[in-house]
Amino acid sequence: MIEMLNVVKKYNGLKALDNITFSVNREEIFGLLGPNGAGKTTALRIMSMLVKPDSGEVIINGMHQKENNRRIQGLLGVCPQEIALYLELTVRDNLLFFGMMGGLSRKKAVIRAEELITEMDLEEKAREKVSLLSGGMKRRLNIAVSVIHKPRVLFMDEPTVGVDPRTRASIFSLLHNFKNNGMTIIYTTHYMEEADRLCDRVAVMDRGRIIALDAPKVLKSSLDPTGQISLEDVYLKLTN
Amino acid sequence: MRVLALALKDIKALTVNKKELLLHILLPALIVLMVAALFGGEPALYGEVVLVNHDGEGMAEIFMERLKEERGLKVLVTDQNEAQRKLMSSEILMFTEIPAGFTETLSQGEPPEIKVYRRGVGGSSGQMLLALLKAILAEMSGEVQITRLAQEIAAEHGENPLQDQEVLIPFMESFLRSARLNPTVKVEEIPLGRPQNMAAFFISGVMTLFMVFTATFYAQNFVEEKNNKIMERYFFVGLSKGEILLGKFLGCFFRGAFQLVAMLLVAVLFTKVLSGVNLIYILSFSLVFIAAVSSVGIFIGAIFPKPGQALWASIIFTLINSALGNTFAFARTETALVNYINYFTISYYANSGLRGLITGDGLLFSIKGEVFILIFITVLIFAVSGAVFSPAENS
Repeated sequence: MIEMLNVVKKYNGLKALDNITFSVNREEIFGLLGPNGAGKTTALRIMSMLVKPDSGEVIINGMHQKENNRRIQGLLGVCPQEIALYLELTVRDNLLFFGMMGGLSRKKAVIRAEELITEMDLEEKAREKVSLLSGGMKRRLNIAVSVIHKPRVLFMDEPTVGVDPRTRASIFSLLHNFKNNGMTIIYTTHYMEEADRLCDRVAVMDRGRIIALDAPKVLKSSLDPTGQISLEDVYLKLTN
Repeated sequence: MRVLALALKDIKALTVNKKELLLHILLPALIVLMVAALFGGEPALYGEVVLVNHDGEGMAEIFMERLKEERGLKVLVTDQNEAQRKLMSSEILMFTEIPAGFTETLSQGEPPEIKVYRRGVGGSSGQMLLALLKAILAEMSGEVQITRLAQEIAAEHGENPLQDQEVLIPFMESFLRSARLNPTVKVEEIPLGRPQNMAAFFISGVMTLFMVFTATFYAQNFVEEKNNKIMERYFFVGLSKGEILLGKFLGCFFRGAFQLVAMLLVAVLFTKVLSGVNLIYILSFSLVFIAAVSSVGIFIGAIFPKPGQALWASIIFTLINSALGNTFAFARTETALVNYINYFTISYYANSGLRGLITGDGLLFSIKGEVFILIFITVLIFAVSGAVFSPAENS
């Protein structure tokens, strides 16, 4: 679904991404792991076309990013770490607004908004202002708004930072649903347990390079054939 | 269509946000109402003349009547103590005392005498009032002199009907009335534009101030949307950079238009300040100005990375445009440096245009220069904003 080929990105002369190459398969949950400054967010922003690489190629759904900017744009959805919502508007109004922004007619946006309100378990709060929702509800709505236009690829930048275990579990459940409905998800996180549980494959990044890439189970068994080691141990070993 | 939906969302967000509604809609409307109440009313030519009448006889009454006949002059009769209290407390800058024996002195053909008490020179209106009082007194004195002269001539020419006082006095009064109606000096008054009115002056200033503030204050929202990644959401639902910028510009413009309508409604419904003014012209010109300041708001939002920085930029821009640009005061001399600086403020063109419409000839054509400059500013700043704006950070 996504191919990153020899991508380089520098900020002030420092290499944020150092010639990285990897691919993400269709309908998989792909994790980008690494310490702060490893280049996860830069990689995510380049894949999602928010940042242009200095060199290299990005191919999404068979289309080169440089030549098919607008066509690719409609395939993508991004769920930022921040609550990117209009706090003074209601849950329903936010979904309707972003649905219409996503090119849906008002009628279709209403139907889609109701679908997502049910899916996110926000029925009772549909008429409430977002500012009055709990943190977990805001997170769920943040995700709902990201998929209102039914993107094929969803980029999520640490969506579980600061959320309680219950909300985290409900987010995992949502992501599995999205995956089962044909969505490809690229996910950055600091939580190894979370990546182990959720991701089909993970790429461990350090200093702008990918130092390991495989399914969590394979990475663990490569370092400890008994399988007793955790992904966190693998991560710590790889990143010193 | 999506651009319009983006803009209309900002209006909806404004209407459900009580704080912003209060700050950007209710407060400006109330200030307009307050200014109209403080400075409204009929314009006075010379202001108010305060008289203390110690004479109370015929000539003093005639003197007061003649003053009352002066257009735009309000005559207030009071007692000595009250007049002195008002003068000492600076409620008035001068008052006039008609002394006892005024009628007797004048009737005998002697020079009439009045006393004028004043603070300093009595202000510029006091100087004009003094000239007016002297002119009326001179006229009355002249009339008495002529009547007395006619009496003397009639007496010297033996038997004739004018020797009889009952015939002479009405004859002279009729003659003098006729003379007053046909003065030797004719001044033709040609009104150009509408009367100068303090309320109209301040209302255009208040409108300009709030339009600048609301549009530039919007920059803070703009930066917040950039920082909390809402702008990125727009990008992912397929909006181009230009569409996002245009949608935000229109959002800012609609908010300003909403505020303008509120201010104009208050001015029209509750005051007489804008009566007789072509509201369509006022509305049209103000919308051009709102477009110009909206582009400034978008520019501030596009260049500053933090909401606090954008807020300060908007406050400083508003303060400069309120202090300068003839918003609330004019420079004393044409050649003052501030007059040249004014040309670099956006409010200068707004105030000039609005006052031209409210107190000038009221024609949109006559302020075409201001309209052209504001449109030019809108296009230029919007284009520059487009060049520096990015919906995503560090891209």
